[in-house]
Amino acid sequence: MKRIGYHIGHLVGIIFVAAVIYFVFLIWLEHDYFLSQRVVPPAEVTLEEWLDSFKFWGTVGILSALAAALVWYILGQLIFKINNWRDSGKRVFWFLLLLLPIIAVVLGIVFTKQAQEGAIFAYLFYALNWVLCYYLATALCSPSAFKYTPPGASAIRRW
Amino acid sequence: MSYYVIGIGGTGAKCVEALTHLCAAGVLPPGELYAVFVDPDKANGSLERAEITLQQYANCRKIGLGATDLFKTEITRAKPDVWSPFGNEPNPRLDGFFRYEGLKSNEPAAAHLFDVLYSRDEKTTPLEEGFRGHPSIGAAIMASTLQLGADEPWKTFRNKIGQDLGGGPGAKIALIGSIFGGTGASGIPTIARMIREELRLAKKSQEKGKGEQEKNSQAGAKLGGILMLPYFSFTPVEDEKLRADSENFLLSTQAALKYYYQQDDLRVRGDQRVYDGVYLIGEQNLSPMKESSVGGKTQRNEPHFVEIYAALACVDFYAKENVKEYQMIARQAEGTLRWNDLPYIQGPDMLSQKLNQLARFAFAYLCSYYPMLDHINKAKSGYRAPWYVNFFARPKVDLAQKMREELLHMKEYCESFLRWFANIQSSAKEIKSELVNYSAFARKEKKGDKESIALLPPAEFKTSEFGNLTLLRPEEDPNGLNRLWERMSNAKVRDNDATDIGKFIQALYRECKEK
Repeated sequence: MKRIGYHIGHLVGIIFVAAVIYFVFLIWLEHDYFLSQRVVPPAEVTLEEWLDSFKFWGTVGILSALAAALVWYILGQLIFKINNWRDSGKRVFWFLLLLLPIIAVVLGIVFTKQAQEGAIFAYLFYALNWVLCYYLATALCSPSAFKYTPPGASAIRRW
Repeated sequence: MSYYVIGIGGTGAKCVEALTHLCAAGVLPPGELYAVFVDPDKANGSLERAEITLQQYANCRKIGLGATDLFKTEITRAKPDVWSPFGNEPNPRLDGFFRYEGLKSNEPAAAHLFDVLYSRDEKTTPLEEGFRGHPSIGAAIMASTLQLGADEPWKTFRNKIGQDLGGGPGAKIALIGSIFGGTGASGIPTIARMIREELRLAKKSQEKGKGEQEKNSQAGAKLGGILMLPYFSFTPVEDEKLRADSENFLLSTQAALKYYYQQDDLRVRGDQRVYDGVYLIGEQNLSPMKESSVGGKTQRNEPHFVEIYAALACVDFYAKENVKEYQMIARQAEGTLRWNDLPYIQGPDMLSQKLNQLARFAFAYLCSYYPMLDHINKAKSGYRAPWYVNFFARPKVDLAQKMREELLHMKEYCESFLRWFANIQSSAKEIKSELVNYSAFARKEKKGDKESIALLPPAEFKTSEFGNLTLLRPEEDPNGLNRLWERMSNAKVRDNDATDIGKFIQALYRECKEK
């Protein structure tokens, strides 16, 4: 029972991080507050349409980062077994999973509607969102045996 | 309570070795243990191994483990830890010891008596490798040399007992040795009588000037005898005229027991008693030893499961307030040895749990934790082991230095324990033993026609067997080491008495407990 509670706690933690990034960063700070005042869309596109496009690809990016974090958790908890000390660490896998949100960001950059001004901010936000989402979710909620595998996690995780 | 153990001869030393491992598993009741060895053959291989085990135990105790059952009992080795009736005499012989040449000219009657009692070989064979299975030689030499209080380690031994009796916690002294060989058979009755006499004198002097109530309330001293009957055999050593011969073990034992009976040496009641408790332990199926030797370094007999019984007899004697009768137990099934057959005051299940915990700890430490630390020390990749970050990196432990000291000491003890544990299983040759699954960490090696137990290299340990090192315990799945790693990654120890390394060891030992 304690073990199940432990897993649920971690999974909820990962989803919570993604939710914070989504609602606080993507929706509120970036979409509503920052980009709506700085982006100048092309003539044939309204600002609302452009922001919807940003929100869509931003959501895809965060979801892919969330998926990567969940896959990392499942791998660490269910697939990787440290019956031999040589099987510890697995940082390579952690970096490989980074590719998933990176692909989402690239897709976002390619498919987000062009803008006359301010598109660069959108691209930066895409990158920031997935970095924050994947890194924070894994640094704070990795399985116990791999909790310091995300670089720098030992400095922020104390449980 | 202060506990004393005197291991007499090679068998006595092996039993002390077993007792040391039980102490490491926290089997002894609370108290301190003081260990002395008696052996004319200081180079005896079995004795050397027991001394090494005690040294390894002491090294691990120095780590500072805090409040844990692991290495719970403080064991003090006497200084010197081995007493030999020959002192430092380089080439002792019976004739030289009794100045036979002088006797012939000065007291011819005594010399003739000497000739009647001892053969030419007995008189002239060098004894630096022990009494060679001849208690008649040992008895004469022991009786004429042993004096408590005259030289070390007996002087300190006597003083310590005096302190324990005079307002101290009380003392329990256990003598362990075989009665079928040379040193044990000759040393046990002599030393027992001497200690008993000393205890009587100490008690009298304590009682002088005390009121009746104080007399009754004072902590006492008790003497226990753990007498080992034959349990192994060996091929006689060729080209040695004077030697122990296992074919005579049963006859020697019969003679010794008859003698003790006639002398009332095993009396456990009344004022004239010698012992307060007597344990007679043997095995009807004699296990053949791999090496035959008259003594010296080559007399290094493998550990045997009967020695666990001897060590448990010690524990029983230490733990019980009064051992009133001669204790008798037997295996449930004649041809099978199981954990349930081992007597322990808290129950055999508790004993197997404690030894299982120690075995898991040693197993995990050797195949997983020590190699990981060694790798981190070389490759500086601490993130791979969260427990390393928690127990070593954050408190800024100097890993390189600890790898050369504390962590190495622990590794040495773990190897020693697992080797002993494997031998306990493999020693039962004529019966089916269901104690230890040693194939998980050791294997039999053949050198010529001799077979011995060797530890596997840590990389070859069968890690899937981690949860099943002792037999007939509830089986665990093959990912026990993985779960241990997970638990260790979150483990915390709040113990101000433990050092940084001690906290790590304490946590690992705690997490190795059967869940």
